[in-house]
Amino acid sequence: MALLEVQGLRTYFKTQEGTLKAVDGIDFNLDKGQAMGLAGESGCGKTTAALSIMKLLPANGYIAGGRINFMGQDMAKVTGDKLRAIRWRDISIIFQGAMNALNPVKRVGDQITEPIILHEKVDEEVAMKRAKELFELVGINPARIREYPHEFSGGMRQRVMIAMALACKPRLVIADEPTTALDVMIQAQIISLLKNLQRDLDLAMIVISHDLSVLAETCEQLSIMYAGKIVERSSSRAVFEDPQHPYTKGLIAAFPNIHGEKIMPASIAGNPPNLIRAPVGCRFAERCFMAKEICLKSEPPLVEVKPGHWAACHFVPPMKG
Amino acid sequence: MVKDILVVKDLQVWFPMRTGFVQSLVSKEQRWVKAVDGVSFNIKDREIFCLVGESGCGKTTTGKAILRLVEPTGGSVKYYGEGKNALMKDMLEEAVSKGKITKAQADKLMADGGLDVRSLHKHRMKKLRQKMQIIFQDPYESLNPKQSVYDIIAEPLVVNSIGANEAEREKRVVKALEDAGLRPPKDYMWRYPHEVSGGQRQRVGIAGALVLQPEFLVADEPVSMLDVSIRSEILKLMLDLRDQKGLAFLFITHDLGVAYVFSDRIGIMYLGKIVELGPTEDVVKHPKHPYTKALISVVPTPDPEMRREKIILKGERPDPSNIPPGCRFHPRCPFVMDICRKEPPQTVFVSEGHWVSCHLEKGEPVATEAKKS
Repeated sequence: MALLEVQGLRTYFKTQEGTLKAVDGIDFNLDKGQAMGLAGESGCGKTTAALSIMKLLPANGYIAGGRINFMGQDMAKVTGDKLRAIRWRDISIIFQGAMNALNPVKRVGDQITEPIILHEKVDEEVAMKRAKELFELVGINPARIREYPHEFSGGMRQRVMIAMALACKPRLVIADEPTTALDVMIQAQIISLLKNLQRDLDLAMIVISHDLSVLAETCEQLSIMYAGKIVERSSSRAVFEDPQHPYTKGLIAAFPNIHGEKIMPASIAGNPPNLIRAPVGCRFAERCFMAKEICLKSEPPLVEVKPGHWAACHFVPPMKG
Repeated sequence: MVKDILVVKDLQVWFPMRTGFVQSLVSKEQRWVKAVDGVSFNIKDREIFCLVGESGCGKTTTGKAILRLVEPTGGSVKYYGEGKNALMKDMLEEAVSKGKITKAQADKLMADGGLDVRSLHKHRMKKLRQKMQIIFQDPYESLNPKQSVYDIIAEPLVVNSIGANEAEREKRVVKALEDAGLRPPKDYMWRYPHEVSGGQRQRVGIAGALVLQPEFLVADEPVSMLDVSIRSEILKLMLDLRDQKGLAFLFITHDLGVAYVFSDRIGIMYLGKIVELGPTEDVVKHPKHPYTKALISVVPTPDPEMRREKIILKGERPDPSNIPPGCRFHPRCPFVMDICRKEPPQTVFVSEGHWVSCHLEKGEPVATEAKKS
C-alpha cells in the first residue's frame, strides 16, 4: 500500500477578488522510501499542495475537496491533537529559505530538541544526545549545538533545517525548495546530503523546486505542475528523455547546458494565468506554441500515454488498449 | 582592435575590522576583511564580461567598487566610454586654471583617454554614474513598493535634474520602458511593483538603469531570483541592449551555466582574486584552475542520465579576514601540493587571452601591466 495517496486534492484561498484555486484537482501516490519531485514555476501551487498535506495552510486557505490518505488516515479531515501527533513525528518539512525559518533568539540545539521532547516524552538530556547525532548525520560538528542561527552560514543553516526535519524519525519529509538561494557549490553539497539521507534512512520524500536539475538528481518520480494542475507525471528519466507535454519540453529547454553548445536557451513567453478566473480550456494554451482551437475550449485530462507516463495535452494521444 | 571601455587594475577593497576594547589594548594591529584583493581585468566596447564565484568571493564588491558605491582602498579604475569626454575636459580645464597641472599634462591625460574614476569628486562621480549604472539582484526588494513604476523610473531623472519638464521626462520613461520590453508602456507605467510579475519587476529595474542612457551596466545576479523559465528572456533583453545600444556589461553571477551561454569572457573569482580569466568557451571547455573545474562540475543539468564526476568542494564561504598563505585556494584544493601552502602561484597564459593562477600550470607569465587580453 502506498504511504501517501492524494486524490483530487483541491486547495483554495479566499481573497478579496474571489476564490483563488491554487491547487485544482491533483492526484499522486508515494510509496515508502520513494522520492517524488514536484516541479513548476512560482505560483503553480506546488508549495500549496505540500502545505495541504501537512495542513499548514494560511488562515484564508482551505482544502475544498479530495482526499489525502496518509497511512490510513485522511489528512484532509484530521484535526486537533490527532493532527499535532502526526505533524513532525510522521511528516516533517524543510522550509523554503533556511535564513528565515529558524528562530533567531533560540539556540539551534533547543530548536531541534523541542519536537523530540514534545513527541517522544523524553528528558532534555536524551533529546540533546539525539540532536548531536543528527548534527553528525547532516555533517555539522556536534560541538556547534549551542550556537545561534546567525553563527551559521547559509548552507549550514540549511543543514540545521534538515537535522530538525529528521528529529523524530519521520516517514515522510517534504523539502520545499531546499537549495534555492544557495550557491551552486553548497547546492551540490545539500543535494548529495539529501540523496544519501533518503537512501540510508529509507525516507519518503517530496521535493519541491522550480529547478528541474535539482529534482533530476534527487527523485525517481517527477510531477510537473502548471497553474494548479499536474500536466505530466512519470519517472524522472522518462520525463527528461521523452517529455510529452509542451510545458515540460519548454521547462527542459529553458536550461542553459554547460556541457553542450554555447547557445541561449529558449524561454517560455508569457505568464501563468490568474487562478481566480482560470481559463476554461487547457491552462497552458495561452503560452503554448502548439495550441489550437480545441485547447481554448476543453480541458485535456491527464491520461496514460505510455506505461507509467501520464500527460495532459490534446495533442498527446493516450496509450492504446 | 576593439577599444576598452573599462580597465580595472589591482583593485583593492579592504574593510577595517572592528576590534573589541580588550583586544585593542593587547594589539595595535589593524585587521582587515580583504573583500577584493588585487583584481585586474578590462571590459571592451560592447562586451559582456562575467565575474563568477561563490558568495563572499568579492564579486559584488568589485562591481560596486567600480561605481564607487563602496570606496576602493587601492588600485585604479579607468573609464573610456564616450560619455566621459565632456566631464573629463571640464575637470582638466578646472585643474589647469587652478594651476594644479600644466596645459601639457592635461593634454596628455586627455589623449590617454582614460578617466580615473577614483580621482573624481563627488559631484562629478554623480555625473559619471549616469553613464555607468547598476541592476540589482533582487527585484522584489530593490523596488520601492510605495512608488509606481513611473515614479521609480523617473526618479533618476529628477535626482540628476534631467528633462526640462514633466512631459519631457515622461517621454524618456516611456522610451526606457519600451527598451526594457515592457510594451505597451502605458499598461505598466501606473502599476505598483506588487502588481507586476517577477520577470517584469526585473525589467522595471533595468528600465530604471536605462532611463539615464548609460554606456556601461553592472548587472549583479539579475536573474538568480527568477524562475528558470523566464531567465533567458531577461538575458536576451540584455543581449539586445548590447546589440542595439552598444552597451557593455559587467555581469556578476554564481551560476556558470548562465555565464556560459551569455558572456563573451569570464573571470573566475575566489577569495578576492581572479584565479582564471579568458574567453568564455575556452574557459568552460578547457578549464585549467582546479576551482574552475569544480565549479563547472557542479553546474546543475536537467538530466538524470548524466553521470558526471562531481567535484564537490568541502566547506564553504572562505573567510576574507583570514586569507590562507600561499595559494588562497589550497585548503579546499583536491590537487594541493607542498608549494601551494607556501608560495602564491604565478599568473600564466595558457592560450590566447586565457590566463590562470595555479602552480600546476606552466606558461608565459602574465605581467600585471598586461593582465588583459
